[in-house]
Amino acid sequence: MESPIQGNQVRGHLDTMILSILDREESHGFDIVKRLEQAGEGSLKLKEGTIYPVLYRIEDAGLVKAKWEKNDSGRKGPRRKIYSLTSKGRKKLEAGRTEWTQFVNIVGAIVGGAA
Amino acid sequence: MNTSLMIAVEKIVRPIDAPLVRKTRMREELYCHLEAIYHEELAKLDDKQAAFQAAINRLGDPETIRAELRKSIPRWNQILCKYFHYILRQPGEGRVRYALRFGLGYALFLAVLLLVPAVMNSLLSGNDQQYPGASFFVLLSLVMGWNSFVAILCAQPLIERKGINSHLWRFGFAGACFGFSVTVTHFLLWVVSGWQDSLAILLPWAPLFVFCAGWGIFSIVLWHLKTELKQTRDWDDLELAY
Repeated sequence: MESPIQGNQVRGHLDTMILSILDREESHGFDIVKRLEQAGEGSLKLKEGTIYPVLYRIEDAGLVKAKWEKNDSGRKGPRRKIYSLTSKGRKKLEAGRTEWTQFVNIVGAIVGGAA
Repeated sequence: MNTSLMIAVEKIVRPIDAPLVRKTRMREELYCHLEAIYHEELAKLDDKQAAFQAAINRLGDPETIRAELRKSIPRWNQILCKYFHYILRQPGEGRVRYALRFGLGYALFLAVLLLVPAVMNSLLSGNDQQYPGASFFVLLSLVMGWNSFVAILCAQPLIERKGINSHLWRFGFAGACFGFSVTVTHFLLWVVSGWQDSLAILLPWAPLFVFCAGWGIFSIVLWHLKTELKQTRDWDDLELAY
C-alpha cells in the first residue's frame, strides 16, 4: 500500500478540499475529516484538530457559514457547529478547481517525465 | 463530560487571546471532536488509557493547533482580549481587592481617555468659565471609578449566588420598562406644555428615575455577565498541569 499523505503535505489545498466536501453536503468538523479521509481512500491522514483553524478562517472570509447543531438527537454535552457553503464559497471552490487543474497539468508535465 | 478530555482541550485553548464567544466555540467544537475520536478508539482498543492517547495523537500537536487557532483571530482582537483578560477577576483574588483594582483601573482609563477632550476644551475655551476645566474631567474619572468599585463589589455576591437569574431578568426588565415609560411621559409633557413645565413636574421624582434606570442597567449587565460566566466556569475551574 502507498504511504499515506500527511496533512502538512496538503496544507495549501486544504481550504479547497474542505469547500469541496461541503459542496456535497453540510457537515460538522468531525464529519468533514471523515469525509476527507474517505475521499482519500485511506491515503490521506490528517491531524484532526488542525481542521478547525481552517474552518474559522474560511468562515471569517465568508466562504462558509456555521450554525449550532440542533439538539434533536438527544446528544448531551457541548454543541457542534454545522458548516455549509455560501455562494462566495462556491465561486471560490470553482476557482480552486481551475487552479488545481492548471497546477496538475503544468507540474504533471514536468515531474511526470513524459518527455 | 470527561475531565481528561476537557483538560486536553483546555491546554490548547486557554493560552489563546480570543473573544469569549470564539473561545467557547473552540472549546465546544474541539471537545466534541476529541470525544468522538476517543469513543472510536475505545471501541477499537477496549482500553481507556490507550484510547485517550490514541485520540490525543489523532487530534494533533497542541502547539501547532494553538498556533493555527491564534492565526485565525485578527491581531487587533488578540491585543484587545489580552488586556480585557486583566479586568476579569483572577483566580484566588478577593472581592474587595478585585473591586478596588477594577475601580482604580477604570478611573485611570477614563482619565487617560478624557485627557484629549480636556486639553481640546481648554485650548478652545481659554479662560472662559462656562466650559468645564481639567479638574472636572479628573473628578468625573474619580466618580466613575468609585461607581465601578461599588457596582463590582455589590455585583459579585449576586453573580456567585445560584438561582438569581430569573429575578435579575425580571428586575432588569421592570427597570428598563419604567425608564422607557418615564422617557415617553417626559417627551409628551414636553410636547404639550413645554420643557420648563415638564421639568418642574418631574424634578422631585428625578432620584427615583435615576435609581430605576441605574438598577435596570445594572441588572441587565449582571444577568449578561452571569450567563456568560456560567458557560465558561467549568472550563476556567480546570487545573492544568503543563
